[in-house]
Amino acid sequence: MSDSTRTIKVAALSRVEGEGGMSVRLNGSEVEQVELRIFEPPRFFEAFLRGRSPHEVPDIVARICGICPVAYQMSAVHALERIVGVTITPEIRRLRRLLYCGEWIESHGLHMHLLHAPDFLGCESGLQVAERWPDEIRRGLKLKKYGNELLEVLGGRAIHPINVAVGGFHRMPRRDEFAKLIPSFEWGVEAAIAATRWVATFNFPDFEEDYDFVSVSHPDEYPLNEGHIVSSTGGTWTADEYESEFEEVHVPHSTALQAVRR
Amino acid sequence: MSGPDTQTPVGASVFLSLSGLDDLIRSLKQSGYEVVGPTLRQGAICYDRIHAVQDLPRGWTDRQEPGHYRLERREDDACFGYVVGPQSWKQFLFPPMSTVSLAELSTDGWRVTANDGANEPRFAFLGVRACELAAIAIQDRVFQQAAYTDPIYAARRERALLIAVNCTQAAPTCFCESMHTGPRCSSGFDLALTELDDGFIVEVGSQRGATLIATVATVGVTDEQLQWAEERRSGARKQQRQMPRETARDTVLGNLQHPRWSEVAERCLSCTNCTQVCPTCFCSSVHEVTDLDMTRVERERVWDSCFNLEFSYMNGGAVRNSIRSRYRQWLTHKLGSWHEQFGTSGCVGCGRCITWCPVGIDLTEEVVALAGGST
Amino acid sequence: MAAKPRLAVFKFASCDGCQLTMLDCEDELLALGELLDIVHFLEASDRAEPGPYDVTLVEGSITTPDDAERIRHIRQQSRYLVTIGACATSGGIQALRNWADHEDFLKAVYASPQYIQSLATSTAIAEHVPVDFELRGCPIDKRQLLDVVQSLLHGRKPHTPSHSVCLDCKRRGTVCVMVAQGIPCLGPVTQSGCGALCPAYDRGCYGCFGPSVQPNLVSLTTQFHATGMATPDIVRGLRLFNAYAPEFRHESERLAGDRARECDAPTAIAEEVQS
Repeated sequence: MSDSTRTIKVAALSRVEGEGGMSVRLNGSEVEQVELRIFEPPRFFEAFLRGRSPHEVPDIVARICGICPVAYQMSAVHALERIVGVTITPEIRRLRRLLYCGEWIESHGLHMHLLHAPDFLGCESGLQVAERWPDEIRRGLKLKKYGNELLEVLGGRAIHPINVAVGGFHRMPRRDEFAKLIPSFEWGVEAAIAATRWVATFNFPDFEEDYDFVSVSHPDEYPLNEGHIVSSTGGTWTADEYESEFEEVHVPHSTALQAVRR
Repeated sequence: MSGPDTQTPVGASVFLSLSGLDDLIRSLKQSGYEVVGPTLRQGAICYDRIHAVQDLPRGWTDRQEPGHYRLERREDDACFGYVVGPQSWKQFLFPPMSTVSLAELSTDGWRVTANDGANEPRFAFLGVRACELAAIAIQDRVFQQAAYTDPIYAARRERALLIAVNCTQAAPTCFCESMHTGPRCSSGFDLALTELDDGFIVEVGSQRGATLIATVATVGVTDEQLQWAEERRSGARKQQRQMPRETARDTVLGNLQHPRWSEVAERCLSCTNCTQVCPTCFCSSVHEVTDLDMTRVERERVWDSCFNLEFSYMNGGAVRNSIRSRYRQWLTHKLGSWHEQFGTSGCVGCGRCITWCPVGIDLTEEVVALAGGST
Repeated sequence: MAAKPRLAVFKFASCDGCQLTMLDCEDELLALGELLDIVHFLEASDRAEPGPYDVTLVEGSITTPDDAERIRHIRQQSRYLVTIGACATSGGIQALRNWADHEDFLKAVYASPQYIQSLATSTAIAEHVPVDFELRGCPIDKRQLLDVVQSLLHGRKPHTPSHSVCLDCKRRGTVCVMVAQGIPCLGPVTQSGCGALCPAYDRGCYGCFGPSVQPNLVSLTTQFHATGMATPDIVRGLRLFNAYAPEFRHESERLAGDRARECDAPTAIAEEVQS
């Protein structure tokens, strides 16, 4: 190793979901290699899901992540419905989208205010941000709370909702359960805009990288429920083509598989 | 036709049409009552807030067996053509959770406000059965014994208006006849209805009932209608189950070491369902809930049960440390020591504990077995 | 006034949901920050101070040799060690490996199993070190979490009842789904804490809070059989998020006729006591 080479090691990344560390090897000021080490212990969901009843799958996969259980539940019910040939009604699709929105509102409130704002504002935590920006953090917590309340009405509870089923919901929500949320969300629309304006004042570093970003895309709406797989370099694929276009590789330093283009 | 100025005397009966019942419900709401009556919810007939006759379970009945309850369609459109559902009126007179008192810390020190019942709601109960009237009479003794009056219960009870309904059929789980608590509503109500094809025979049971029935249009009853009502009511007297009322107390208290207690404990889940659906069980526990800066403390009372291990927790441990001892505690209290405590059995023969036990344990069967009989 | 108590939060094999429950206390979070010095909580803060800690919350189960070591170190640094959630208190859903072929599981997920350091078992924290209080749930309930934290601060007994879910169903007026709809429900043998959610949504309880105190599993599963449920379905129903909790485990093994692997590092507590 030459004198000009050095490695920055972060043992554990903070304010992220899950557990990981990072090492960056530099040659002078040139980054030679970056390793993201996910050391989250293996839990073997893919293995123990074999032999389970389809009805149990939405409950089980939620436990992959307590921060985004709905994402896993939705992926599971969509996959299982395709396998058994079930078509859901437009009403159920909209309610699922609403459930998803609850998770996104909660999760965005969390990430913007408690997980990411500290990095932009030079603070160690959201609590420390609150010492200088108490109104902004209180507003963010309130937005987060209302997202959770939407999850609770539709899903029974915010973390690991119990109401998602293959084909729909175990119980449809009642009108009065929704009605009581309306004032919160009328406030929430204005609060979300204000929170976005606050975040827009942060100093975002000028950073561009030639990188192939992959996402789901939907022609008419934000692709929460479903859509095509698209790439920033112009590729478009269906979900069925995922396995032929992408490969999940296993690297020695990470327990999380890495998806790469074939 | 009777009007506001000619009240039907207590003890007399009038005929009320179906639309008259609708008027009665509206009249109660206008007088500031929260009207609670039977309505369909979650596959059962539950007592909930109702607003009109259309909220009633018209044309529905219940089929009950130990550990089993199903709704079924009736051949007619009866409003009260079922027996008893999972809940009793207990939940309204003795709510599952209530704030007993509140303590708040300010610069002047602690300010404690006890719940004296002044803000408790005013209920009109529609559809109270004979066994439930008996249960309310029992809870009156439990909660309103002279120096130990419970202010929340007392306030709700005092304000409550009871419109009873005579049963016209019995479930296989009913045994009120053997307990002498039914099926005929004989006292404790403001009004008592017997449902006929085209309306109701309404018996006035109190001055409050007389005033209420005078607010709606009624007509005099004919002998023929009274005869029909009697025939309808007789349908509820065909009961499969019996409790040996005269001997049950001695049977349970005189056989404390009977092997049957161990046998029933093998089946009993100790889940508390029987005590929660029982219209007379009254156990509760009290705990304090504080806010984070310890300036506000709410003292909450919640339903509890003798089937909970923690319920008999005393210094050093739980006194009833097995399902056997907890089941025995429940049954010996309900049928035995309740007599010493309140001068009556604690059982009214409604059969809820049989139907709503997830494994279908039948207390009448247990008493027979404890007495040495075959089951 | 004395220094604020030092709180630490640690994660083992888990989903993050129980830690998130703390951040989901939106109305109380800032007040909690006033009461406690949160000195180690990677999910929420850059602070990662060494011990000693007054109160340590541990999420997750022990599934790797490193974690079996790490928990012992954390225990040594902690005055009160509280485990939070089904993973920490019973091994979690990942304890399903305890009945399976570990090699097969490794190969089913990883192309290069040799890169993976994993124990053949997932076990509760209390199987490795002494635990002062176990807070159940998958996920834990935030009111119970706040109560436990407050109780530790004020030296009182936490209010976390050990009775069945049934009592909560009755308190909230939910009709029994087992009796009225014939839906199998673990409520009669499951500890309260969730607020009896599932039956209120017309489905049976699936045991998130683990076994209630003195549960009668045999009677309940006999009833399941009587209502037409097949043995493998009952076994799977017991083998979810608290599969390795002793009462659920023993009943599922009685019905399935198999045995789970015992804890990979069962000697920890014994050694601790000796030293």
